[in-house]
Amino acid sequence: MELLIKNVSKRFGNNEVLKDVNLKFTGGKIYGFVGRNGSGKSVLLKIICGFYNVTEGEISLDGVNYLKENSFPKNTRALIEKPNFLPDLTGFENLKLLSSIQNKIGDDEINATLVKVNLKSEANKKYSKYSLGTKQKLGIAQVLMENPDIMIFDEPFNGVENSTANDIRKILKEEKNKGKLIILASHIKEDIYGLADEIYEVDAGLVTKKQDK
Amino acid sequence: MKYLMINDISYLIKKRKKILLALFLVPLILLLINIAAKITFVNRVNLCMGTNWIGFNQSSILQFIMLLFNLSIYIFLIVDIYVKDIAYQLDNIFLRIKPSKWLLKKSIVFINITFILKLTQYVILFLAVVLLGKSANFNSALRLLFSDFIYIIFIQFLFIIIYVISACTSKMKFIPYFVFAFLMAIIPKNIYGLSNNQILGMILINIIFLFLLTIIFKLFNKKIIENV
Repeated sequence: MELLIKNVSKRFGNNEVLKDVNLKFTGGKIYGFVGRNGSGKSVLLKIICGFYNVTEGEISLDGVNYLKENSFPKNTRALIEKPNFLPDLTGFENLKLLSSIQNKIGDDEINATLVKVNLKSEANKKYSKYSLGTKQKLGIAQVLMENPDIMIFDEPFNGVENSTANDIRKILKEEKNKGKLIILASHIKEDIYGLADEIYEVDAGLVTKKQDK
Repeated sequence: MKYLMINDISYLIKKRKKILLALFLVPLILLLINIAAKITFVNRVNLCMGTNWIGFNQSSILQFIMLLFNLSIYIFLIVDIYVKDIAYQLDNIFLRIKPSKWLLKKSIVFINITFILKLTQYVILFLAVVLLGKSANFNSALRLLFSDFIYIIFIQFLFIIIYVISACTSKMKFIPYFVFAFLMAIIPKNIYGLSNNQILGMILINIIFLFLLTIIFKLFNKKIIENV
C-alpha cells in the first residue's frame, strides 16, 4: 500500500494553505503531523481523505489518482475534528447505524471493536451521557470497526485524559503492527512524539520532516 | 438509507423543534382566528396554507404571507438537511458511500420527510375543522395535499440546484439566486388551481432535477464540500 502526495499546493482564494507538499506513506507505519492551529494540518488531512481538491499537484493511492476521479480513497476511515454521533442512541447503536451504510460488518465485529477501545461497559449508555474521552474513544471505534487499510485522525487526543490517551496510543500501535497506514495530526508535539514513526512539522503551509524513528 | 433517515429525523426533532412547531401551529392558529368566517373548507385550507395565491388583486395578503411562510420553511429545511451532512458528517458518510449514491438516498429521505411534514400539516387542519363542527371535504383535502407536496418538492429541488451551482461557482455566486428569484416570480403560485398536466409536468421536472443534482454532485463534490 502506497499513498503518494506529489507537489501538492492548496489555495483558498489568495491564501496559500499548503505549499508544494511531497510525501510518501506506506502501510505498517504511523505518520504524525504537528503544527499550531491553522498551520494547514487539517486541510492536508482533508485533502488526503478526498474531501478537498488540490490547487496543484496530485495524490495517488496505489497508483490511482482518486482526486482526479472525483472519488475518495478506498478502504479509508477518518476522525476529523470531533466525533459526530446521535446523542439519543447508545454507543453500540451509533456504531451499528453507521455500519449499516456499507453493511460490511455485523454485531460481533462491532462488539469486538468496543472491547478493543475499552468501551464495552459503556456500550449501552446513551452517547449524550459520555464524557469527552469516551466520545473520542467511540470516534476511534468508528474508524477501526470496518477494518480499514488507512486510518486518519485529526487531534485524536483532544480533551482526552492521560489514561484514555495511553489506551488510544496502544490501539494505534496494534493497528500499525497489523500493517495499517495511520496518519495523525496534533497541535501538541508530545501527543505525536514516541508514537509516530515519521514526524512532520506543518508551519504556514510548509511541511518539513522532523524525525525518523 | 437507514442511517440517513434516522440521522435526519433525529436532527430535525432535536435541533429544529421550534421550526417544526411553527410549521404545524401557525396554520392552525390562522384557522382558529378565521373559524367564524363563512367560507368553504377548501377556502379555509387555502387561507391557512397559502395554497391559492393568484395575485394581489384577487387574493388576500395573508394568503401570500402563508405561501412565503411555507416556502421559506421548506427551503430552509432542505438546505439544512443537505448541508448538515457535508459540514459535520464528512468522515462518517463520504468515506463510506459514493457521493452520487449519497445524494440519491438523501433526496429520497428528504422527499419522505417533506411528505410526512405536509401530511401532518393537513391532518392537523382537517381534524381541527372537523372537531370545530365545520364542514370538511376529505377528497379536496387529499387533492390539495398531493398538489402542495409535489409543488413544494419542485421548489425545494429548484432551490437546492441553485444553491449547489452557487457553491460550485467561484465568482458571481449571487447570480444563481437572481435566477431563482426570477423563476419564482413566473412560477404559478395557485397550488390549488394546478391542473393534472401541470402536476405531472412538475413530477417529471423533479426527476430531471434529481438526475441533474446527481451529476453535479458526482463531478463537483469536492468543490461543493469546500464551499458549503
